[in-house]
Amino acid sequence: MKNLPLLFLGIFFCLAFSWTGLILSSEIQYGGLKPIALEEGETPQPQAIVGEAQQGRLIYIDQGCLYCHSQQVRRKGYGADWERGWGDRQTVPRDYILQPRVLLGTSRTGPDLMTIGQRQPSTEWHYLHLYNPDITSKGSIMPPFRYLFETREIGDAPSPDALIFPDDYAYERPPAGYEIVPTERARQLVAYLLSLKVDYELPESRFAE
Amino acid sequence: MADNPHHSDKHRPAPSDHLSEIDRAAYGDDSIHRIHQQLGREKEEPTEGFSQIPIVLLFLFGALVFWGGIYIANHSAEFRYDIYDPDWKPGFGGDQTAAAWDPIKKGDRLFKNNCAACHQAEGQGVPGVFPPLAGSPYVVGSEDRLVKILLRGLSGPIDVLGTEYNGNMPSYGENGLGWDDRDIHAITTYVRQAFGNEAPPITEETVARVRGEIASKSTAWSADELLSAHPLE
Amino acid sequence: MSPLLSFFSSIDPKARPGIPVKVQLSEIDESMRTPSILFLSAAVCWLVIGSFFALVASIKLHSPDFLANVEWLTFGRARSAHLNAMAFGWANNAIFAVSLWIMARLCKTAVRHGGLLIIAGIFWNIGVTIGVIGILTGGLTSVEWLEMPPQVAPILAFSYILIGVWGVIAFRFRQLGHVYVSQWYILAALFWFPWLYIIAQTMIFIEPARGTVQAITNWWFAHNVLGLWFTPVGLGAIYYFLPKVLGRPIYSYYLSVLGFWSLALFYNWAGVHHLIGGPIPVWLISAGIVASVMMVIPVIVTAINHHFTAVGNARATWASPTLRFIVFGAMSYTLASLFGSGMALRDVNVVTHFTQFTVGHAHHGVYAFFTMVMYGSIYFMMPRMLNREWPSAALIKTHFWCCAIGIGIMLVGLHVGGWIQGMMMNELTPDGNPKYTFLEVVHALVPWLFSRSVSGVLLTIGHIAFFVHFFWMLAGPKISRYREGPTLLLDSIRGEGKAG
Repeated sequence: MKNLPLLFLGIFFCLAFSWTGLILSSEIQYGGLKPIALEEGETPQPQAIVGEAQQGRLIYIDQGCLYCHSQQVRRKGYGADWERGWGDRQTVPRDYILQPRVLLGTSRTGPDLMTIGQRQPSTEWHYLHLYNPDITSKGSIMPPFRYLFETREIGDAPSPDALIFPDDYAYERPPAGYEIVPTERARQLVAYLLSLKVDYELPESRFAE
Repeated sequence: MADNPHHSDKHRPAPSDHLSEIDRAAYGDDSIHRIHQQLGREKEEPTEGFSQIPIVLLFLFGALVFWGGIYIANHSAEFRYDIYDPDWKPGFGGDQTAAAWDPIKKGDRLFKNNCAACHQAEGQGVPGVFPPLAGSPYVVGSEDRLVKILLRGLSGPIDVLGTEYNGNMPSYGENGLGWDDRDIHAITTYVRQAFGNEAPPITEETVARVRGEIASKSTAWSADELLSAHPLE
Repeated sequence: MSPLLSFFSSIDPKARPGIPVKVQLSEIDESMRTPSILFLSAAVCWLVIGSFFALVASIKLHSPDFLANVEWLTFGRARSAHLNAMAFGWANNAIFAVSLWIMARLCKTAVRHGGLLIIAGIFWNIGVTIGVIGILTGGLTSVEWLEMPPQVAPILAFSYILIGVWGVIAFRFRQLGHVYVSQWYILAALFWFPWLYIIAQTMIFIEPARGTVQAITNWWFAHNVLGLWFTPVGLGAIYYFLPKVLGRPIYSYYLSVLGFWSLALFYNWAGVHHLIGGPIPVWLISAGIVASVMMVIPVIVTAINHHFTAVGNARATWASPTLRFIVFGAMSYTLASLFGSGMALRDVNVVTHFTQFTVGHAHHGVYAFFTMVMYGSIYFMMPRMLNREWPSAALIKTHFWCCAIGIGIMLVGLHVGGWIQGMMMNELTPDGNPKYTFLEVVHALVPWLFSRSVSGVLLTIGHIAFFVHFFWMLAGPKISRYREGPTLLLDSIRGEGKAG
């Protein structure tokens, strides 16, 4: 090849073309979406998560939960997301506009978590599951997050969120007089998980039935 | 090595001579020989031949590009941002035929997706942590009591079939996940008739009535509270 | 003369016309020696470090209690440390060494001011080290292929620019009118990578785009790291070493041109196929699918071009360490890319998406193609750089067979296991419920995940063999002095003057 200006221009424009076509055009087309109410007077959706749940998202990010858990629901009829109860409708761009970091994920070594706050609203279940996934989901390959819990001496009375193990629990239990309680980080993480819900409809995505 | 007199003194421009020149140089000095042994055996720098592209290939690629154009035309939903179904066509309203309502089928789906993680697939629970539903008097007994548990949740110590539990059942009513009467009707009917349970269904009307009766309550029940209103059968 | 002008004249190598080509090459090798050895040493160290994290992550996936109480090695962090150590530590260092060296040779320009290159290289590796430690200690960003804390991005970007610019300088002062196909690929890659990296950093971390535009940016970047950075350098290396070692011209210039431009045009649209079914407008996905399928064009073209260049030289190919690895890589490129095009189709993707199939495919491209090609390149470069032969044919064979069999097991395990996983996830009973619970799918997957750990052990052995061999060669002129000819892998061919 001897036509060097052509080579340089080609190298430049090929990438510029895809950047314009994929990124710039989507930014222009739907980068400015806003929360919207289905009917007048209703709360515009989606809403941003706040407080402890917001802190929990940071734990979710730095522990790398995303590498096994997606947060997106595909439309009914494409895959079995709907049948598995992972969401009543497909999730769409508007569902994500208030998330500072979008955590769609590309792996489902574990189940999708887009609606885990609806599917599994029990705090205790989440604590037990994080502490040792095998208790609640026999044969799970999720890593145990025992380091998000602490063993401490029982004070005047057992703390309300101390873990209660099943009667047939085969692993090591805390010594007598001690209890296992979630740390701040575990509480924040569970608050985040419980905040993950898609319990509203959008004009562009209605519940499938 | 760049200033090695062997090369700057004796270079010849004709490319065919390069190899022999290096070889000759190499015979003089053992260290030079070592330095050049890879280069000496190295082939010329790569060049390109000019064979033609097989014409069949060009037709194949033409067909592929044609397919690509057709695919984009058919599956791009007029480049709208708010369409997510690749088969969408203008005026396409989606599949409107609703499946027939079956509380057991719906209840089955709701149970698997929302309840089975704690109460387990066969409703047997986890002894000491999550109470069983199979054979539980709280499930097959009083209709009002079961609906109340669903609508407000249950918290604190409770005895189920002789085992002590101390946990929190989440609420599926207004102060919790906000299920409507029909879903509560489906899930309660399902758990009363699955896992070997054989209790009559709970109707939507019953759910609506109970929901009205407890409208002023906003917290989870305790077992004592429930049992004083609806003693175990 | 102004300082600027004198700088420009100082980097102009002023090759003396008329000096025999091979003497020029020898000068170029000499000028690249220290920087290349630095990059390659770092690359080989990262390769072993990355293998360690890979093994930990792989074992954790079937035995979750392994090292479970060590927070910094939890699965999400270990696998991210693995990816970044391999992508930014191993692959990038190898690319710097191989691409700059090929570029300098093809341009017939020695690198001047190699000290700058060395300093930039040191900073690059400091940046990657901080990044990997950052991932392990809580700075993981959970943005795929950009896991390192964004604070290291400036270090990486600046040191990259100081490194990449030498390829451009070499090109600017090239001695020949004709520009060879490897030069197109490498020149393009050297431009594309910083552009991708800086835009991705900006639109995801510095000034985050809203909503799923972030996801599109993410996959535009992540897929293009493979498509516009690893792939062009890998192809450039194949285009250089295949004709070089065999001493035959590349089959067809026209095929090279078609292959290059169709790759440049289609590859960078393909990344959206990671979001099929996801929350982005359907037209973007369809565009990504079409681009992915169009990738068949450059792949077939390149495969034909390479095949007809190498055809009839099976013995020489098998005997040369360089070609044995490079031909393995070139064949894997064809296969991996055709798989990739197939996986982008909606009906296939509905099964493979979200499964280990994708993980297998990633290793098919990055390992079986790119990494194998880099091994081959290093086997050619090191003897020229050090004027010394590889000490042991047995270690090269160990390296090759461990890697070839290891990656083979991994690819079969992850592709088959991933396919089963995807089918089980989607299968419905006649009344419309999932046939298998999620845990049943997991249980079915575990044996396949275990096979990946087996392959990981093999690969690690191969990497350690390479590591030992590399530093053995680096350390010991005494050891390799007695080896006179090239280190070849078939005894009978030795002495026929085939280049290693």
